[in-house]
Amino acid sequence: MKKVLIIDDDDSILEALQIAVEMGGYEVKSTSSADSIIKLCEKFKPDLIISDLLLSGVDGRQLIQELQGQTSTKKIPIILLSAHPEGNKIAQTYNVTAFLAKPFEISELLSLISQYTS
Amino acid sequence: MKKSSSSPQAGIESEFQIYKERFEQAQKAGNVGVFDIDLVTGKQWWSAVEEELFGLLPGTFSGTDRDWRDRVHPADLPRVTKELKERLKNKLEDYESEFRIVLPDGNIRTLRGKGNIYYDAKGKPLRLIGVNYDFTERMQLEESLRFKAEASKVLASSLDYQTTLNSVARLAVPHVADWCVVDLLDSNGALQMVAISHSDPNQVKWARERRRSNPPDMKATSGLTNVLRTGKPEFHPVITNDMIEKAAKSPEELQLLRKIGFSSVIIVPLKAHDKTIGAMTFVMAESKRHYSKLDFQLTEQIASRASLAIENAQLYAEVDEERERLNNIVANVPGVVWEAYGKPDAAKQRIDFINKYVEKMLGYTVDEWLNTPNFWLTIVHPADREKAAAQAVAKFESGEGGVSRFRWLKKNGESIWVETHSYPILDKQGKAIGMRGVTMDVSERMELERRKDEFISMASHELKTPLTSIKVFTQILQRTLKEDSNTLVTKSLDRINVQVGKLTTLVSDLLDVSKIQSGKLELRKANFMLNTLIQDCVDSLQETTDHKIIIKGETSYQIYGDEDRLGQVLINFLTNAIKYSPEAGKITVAVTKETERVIIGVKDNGIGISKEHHNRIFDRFYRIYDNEDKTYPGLGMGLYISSQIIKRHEGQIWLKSTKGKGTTFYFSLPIIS
Repeated sequence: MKKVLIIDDDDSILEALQIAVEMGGYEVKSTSSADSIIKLCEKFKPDLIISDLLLSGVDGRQLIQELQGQTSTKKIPIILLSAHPEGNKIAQTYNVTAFLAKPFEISELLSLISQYTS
Repeated sequence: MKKSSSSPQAGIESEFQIYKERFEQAQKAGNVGVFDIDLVTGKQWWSAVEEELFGLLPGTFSGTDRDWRDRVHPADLPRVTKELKERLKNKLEDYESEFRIVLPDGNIRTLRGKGNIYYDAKGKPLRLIGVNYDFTERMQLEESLRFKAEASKVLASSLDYQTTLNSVARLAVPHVADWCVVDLLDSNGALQMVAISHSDPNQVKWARERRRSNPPDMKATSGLTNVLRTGKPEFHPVITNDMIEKAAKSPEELQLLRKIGFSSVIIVPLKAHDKTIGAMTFVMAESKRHYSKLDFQLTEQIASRASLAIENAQLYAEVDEERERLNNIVANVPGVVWEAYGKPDAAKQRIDFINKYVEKMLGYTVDEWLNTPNFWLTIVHPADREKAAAQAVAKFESGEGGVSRFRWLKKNGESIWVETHSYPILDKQGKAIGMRGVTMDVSERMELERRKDEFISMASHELKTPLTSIKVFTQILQRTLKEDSNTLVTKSLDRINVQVGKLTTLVSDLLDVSKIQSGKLELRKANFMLNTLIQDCVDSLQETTDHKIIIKGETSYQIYGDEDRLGQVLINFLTNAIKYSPEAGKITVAVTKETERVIIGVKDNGIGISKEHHNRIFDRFYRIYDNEDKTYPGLGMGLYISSQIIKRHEGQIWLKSTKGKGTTFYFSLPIIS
C-alpha cells in the first residue's frame, strides 16, 4: 500500500482529507504541524506528500524548500493545496509536483495521487 | 547781350528793366531776399523781399547792419556773428548761416542764408552778396515729423500708458506746441489731467493749481469738455480776442488768458472701443505760431496712436485681471492644476502654469516647477519613473490623453501616490505640443484600496477553507452511501455538493471583481485547442443539469489565451443559460468561423432579456429588475468578469435576445492560423 503524508493546519480539512485519501486506498499519516517534518518523513517514508501552502508556525513555502533540500526527501512528489488567490503562481515558483486550488473534488485529488505514486 | 531794333540806349534800358523785373519776380515767387554788403564801408543793400522777410515796410531799410541786429534772436546773434568772422578769417568764399528772427508782432521765424564772399588780391574781404529765405515752415514740418516718429515709438514702447502719455506731452513742447495737456476720464467719468507740459516748470505748476481750483465746465459748448462729450476734435487755427473774451468768466480771468496769449488750439479726442476716454490739447501761445491743417492732421494721428496704446494697455490689464482671478480660483483646488509644453519626457519640457497648491502638496515652490525643465519626471519615484514617462508620452502621442498613477517624492523625501488626468494641447494641425491636466494625491485612496484588496483576498481564503472541508466531507458521504442507494440521502448530498459549488463560484467571482478593479487580474496565456475546452466545460456542467447541451459546428481551432479564464466565461454563459431557461430543455453551443476570428454562441430558449438591458448587462454589479416577473438571484458579477476576460483577449462579447424568446450570448476570439 502506497503511503501519503498530509499536512494542513486546518483540523477539519485534515480530518476530511485523511478519510478521503484512506478511502482511496492509501496508508495515510496526517499532521497539522510542520515541525520536524523531515524526521517524520524519514520514519514514515511517504510516497507522496500533500501540503497546504500557508501553515501556522512554519510557512508552507519554507517547508517545501526544506523537503526539496534534503537528500532523504527531495524525490518525494508534493501536491500543494491552497485557497490562496495566488496559489497557482506560488506553486509554479516553488516547482512542486502539482497544485490543487481549494475547494476541489476528491476525484481530482485521488487521480493526482494515483498519477504520482505509480 | 541782345541787340534792340530801336535806339541802342532805349534798347539797353528796356532790356535792363526786363531783367530787373524777372529778378524781382523770381525773388517774390521763391520768397528769397537778396542782400549786398560792402565789407569795407559796412554799407548794405537789401532787396524788397529781404525787407519783407525781416518785417520792414518797403523802403524803410536803414542801409546799415542795424536792422539785421535788431531782428536776429538775441540767443542766436553772437553765434551768427562769430560764424561770419571765422569765415572771413579763413578766407572762405562760401557763406552759409541759419538764425531766428523776432518780428515786431512777436512771431519767431527761422531764416537761412547763402552767399559768396569776395576778397582782394591781399585777401582782404571786400563784399558779401547773398540770399535769405524763410525756413520756418520746412523746419516746423521736420519737427512735426520727428515728433510723430518719436511719439509713436514712445506709445508702442510700454503698457504703462500714464507714463507714455506724459512722454508724448513732453515731446510736443516746444516744437509742436507751447502747451500740451492730456486728460482722461476715469472709471467714474471724472476728468483726470494725466499729463501737462510746458517749457517753464513754474507755468506747469501754476496750470496744475489752476485746474484744481477751477475745474473745466462739463457743460461748455466748446473746448475740452465739448470734445469729450461729442467725441469730435476742435481746431482753432486763430484764437481771436473775441473768443478769449467769451471764454473768460471774470475780468481777472480775462487778464490771465490775455497774459498767456493763446494764438492757436487743437483738441483731439482719445478713444477706446469707440468710446471717448479723454483728449489731447495742443496750444500755441507765446511763440505766436498758428496751427495749419497739416498740424491738425498730425495731432489726430498722434491721438489715434495714443488711443490704440491706451486700448491695448486696458485690454492687457483686463487679461491680467482675468488671469489673476483664474489663478486665485485654481490656487485652492486640492490638486495640482498644470500646463506644460513639449514632449513629456523631453529634457526641454517646461511647465507653463502650475497652481499654488503644489507647494502644499509636495513642498517645492512654484518657481522651482516653472524654472526647472522636466521637473515633474525628476521627482517621480525611481521605481515608477520609466513607466510614468512612457504613459505620459503615450497620452501625448495618442492625442487623446488619459489617466495614470505613479509615486512622487516630496521635498522632505516622503513619497505619495498621485493620479494624473491629462490631455494633450493640440496645435492648429492637430499635433500635440503640450499637456494640461490635474494631478491628485491618491495615497489615502490607494491605501484604502490596498486594504480592501487584502481584505477580499483574506476573506476569500477564509471562506474557502470551510468550503473545502464541507466539500470533502460531502463527497466522502456520497462515496460511502453510493452502495446503500438511499435515494433521498444521496439526492440531498448531490444538492449540497452543487450548492457548495455555487458558493465557491461566488467567492471566486468576488475575488476576480476585486482583481479586475485593481488591475491585478493576471492571465496565463498559452496555445490550446478550443474543442477540448468546450468539451470539458460542457461535460462538467452536463453532470449537474437535466438540460441537454449540444455542441454544433467545427470546434478544432487553436487559440492563444488563458484556458482556465476562457473556460470560466463559457461556464458562466452555460450556467446562465441553464438558470434562465427553467422550462426549456435544450442549450446549444455553436461555433462559427469568420475571417480571422472564431465566434462561440451559447443559445437557450428561456425567458429572454428585453432590449433596454442589452447595453448595460456587462456592467459591474448590473442586475435586471423586472416589474412583471421577479428579480433574478445573483450579484451581477459573472458577465462583468466574462466581458473583462474577453477584452483582455482582444475579443468581443455581445448578446442577441428577445423577451420571452430565449437568449444567445456570444464571444469572439482571434484564431491562430
